Amino acid sequence: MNKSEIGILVVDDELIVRESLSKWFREDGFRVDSAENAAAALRKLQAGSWNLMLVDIKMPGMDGIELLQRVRQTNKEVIVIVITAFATVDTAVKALKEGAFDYITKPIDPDYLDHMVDKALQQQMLVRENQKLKDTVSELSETGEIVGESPEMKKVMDLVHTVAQTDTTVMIRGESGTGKELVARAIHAGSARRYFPIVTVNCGAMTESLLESELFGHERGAFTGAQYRRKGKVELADGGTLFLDEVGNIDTKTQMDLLRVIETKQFTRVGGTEIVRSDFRVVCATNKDLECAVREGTFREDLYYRLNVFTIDLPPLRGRRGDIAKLAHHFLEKFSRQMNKKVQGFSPEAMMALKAHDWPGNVRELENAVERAMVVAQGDVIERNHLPLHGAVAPQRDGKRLEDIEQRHIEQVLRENGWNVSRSAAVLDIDRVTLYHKIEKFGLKREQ
Amino acid sequence: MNAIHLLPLGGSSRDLVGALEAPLRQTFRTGVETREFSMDPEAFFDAGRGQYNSTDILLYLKSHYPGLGQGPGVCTLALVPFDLFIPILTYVFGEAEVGGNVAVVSYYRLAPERYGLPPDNALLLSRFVKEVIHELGHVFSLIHCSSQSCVMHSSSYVEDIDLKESSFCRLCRSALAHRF
Repeated sequence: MNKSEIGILVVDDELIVRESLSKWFREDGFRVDSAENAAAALRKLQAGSWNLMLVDIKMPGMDGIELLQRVRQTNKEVIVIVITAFATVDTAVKALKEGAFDYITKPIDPDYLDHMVDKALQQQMLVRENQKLKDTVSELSETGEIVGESPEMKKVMDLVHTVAQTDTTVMIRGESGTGKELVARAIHAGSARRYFPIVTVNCGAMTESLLESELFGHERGAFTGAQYRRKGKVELADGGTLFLDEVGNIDTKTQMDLLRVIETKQFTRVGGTEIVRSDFRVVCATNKDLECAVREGTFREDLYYRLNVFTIDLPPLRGRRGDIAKLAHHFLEKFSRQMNKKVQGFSPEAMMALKAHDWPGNVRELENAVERAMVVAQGDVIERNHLPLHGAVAPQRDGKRLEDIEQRHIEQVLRENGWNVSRSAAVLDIDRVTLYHKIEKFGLKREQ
Repeated sequence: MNAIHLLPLGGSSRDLVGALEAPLRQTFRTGVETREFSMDPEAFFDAGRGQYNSTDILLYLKSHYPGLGQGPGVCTLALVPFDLFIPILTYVFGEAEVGGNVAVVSYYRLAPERYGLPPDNALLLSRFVKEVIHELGHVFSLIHCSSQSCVMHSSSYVEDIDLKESSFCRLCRSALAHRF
């Protein structure tokens, strides 16, 4: 870290001490400020970002020990070094017990001061690095395997491999349960950012104000219950990947804030004024028709174009039935390990039922079905009656699904217009991109 | 910068101060003159510590040295034989007004005999030159450098001074070039 990015706050009631120490650290290239008493120090701590505080124990009003206690209630990260006179070493020991990094006696040996500050900052850096590595290991251990050998999934994996090595923004589209987050993690794991965290934000699960605070963090006192400064997901994703799940559900105000942070990589925490920088890559996912949302004005067009740089479409499970058996065996092995049950496989009837099912909940539904079957199975094979597929097995569609009707209608309009996409899109009253998307989705081809 | 004025104060060795001129001219490529200035060091003496307050000396020079009024391009360096301190630290080799026009350097702690070793004028001058260039570097807005051989590397002990060169590293040299 560049020294100018490291903030040191000197707290002492004596002007000469504040000035001397500030000058000393400024000559070292640090960002320095000072406070003449504990109250001013708390205000400055709240307003800015500080790595280290040098606090005089003896101050009128709130003394250094009480200040240390107050700091520790709201900020666990800042390093506090207390300054004391020889006569008050006992107090310094008390300060150590309260969470001070170390104490230093007046007058300060310059060499000792430099070494102590270097040591403290190095330890802070190691603690932060350690936390980041723990997060990364935890993220990586959670990364599941993408299972599938169908041509559809091979195409997806090729796209993942291609885009992972770039820093391009990726939009993953697909029905619920198709494994969008898994693909996002695969992109992150294949990128140069893999040693930094991938941070997931489920945009659909939060209210406007909660999402804003979740994304950008908040300062202490920003709203009722905000007792601590909290880093947002954007800040936590520094160096890594920010995965915005269900991005189509973000409200318009947060869309604007998000667009700004994606473009500038800068933001301010809720209730704060300090500009925070974060270097992250955006991968987002949605099961919504964003083009439609843009037309309806519920999704900002500029954000849509900023996010929709490289699209990966995940096929529904019913569109890659060839993968069902492999996926089912994959989940069987996973739950066998987890539940310590030696179930060998599926009976032919059970496998037939799995292949015939329509899987509206996609891979997630299949996973849950296998898990439930594993719980109820008594022998070493999963039977048909172990599978929770009662009402949903092989529904007879007879071409009556809305999707089938849509497909037939688009095909007819395309035929009537000689497969002229612009004309057909005008007739359908949708834009060309959407029409191309539908043609790809339904696998429509011009008859020769 | 048009000129650097060297002020030997408090009975500083004229020979030692005179020996600074050539290396400073070579380093900063500007005029270097030894000037006369009268100042009573006892006004800055702290009897409790047995040392002289360097911050107060700088403030005095800023307001009393007439050479600073001779143009914006003049900077002044006081050279003293006694031990300096700033109130919170036990001692300093020197102090400068970062981005300003005054500095003070002491050779009190630079002499080998201070550490029980035989006198060595060449070593004393070498250390003195480095500290003087270091403080002038601060006057010209440079901050401490992480390169161990750069003259702007922070030194708290004489051994640290001996380890570094009397010249600027490439980055500090480049930053300095913007100043001139």
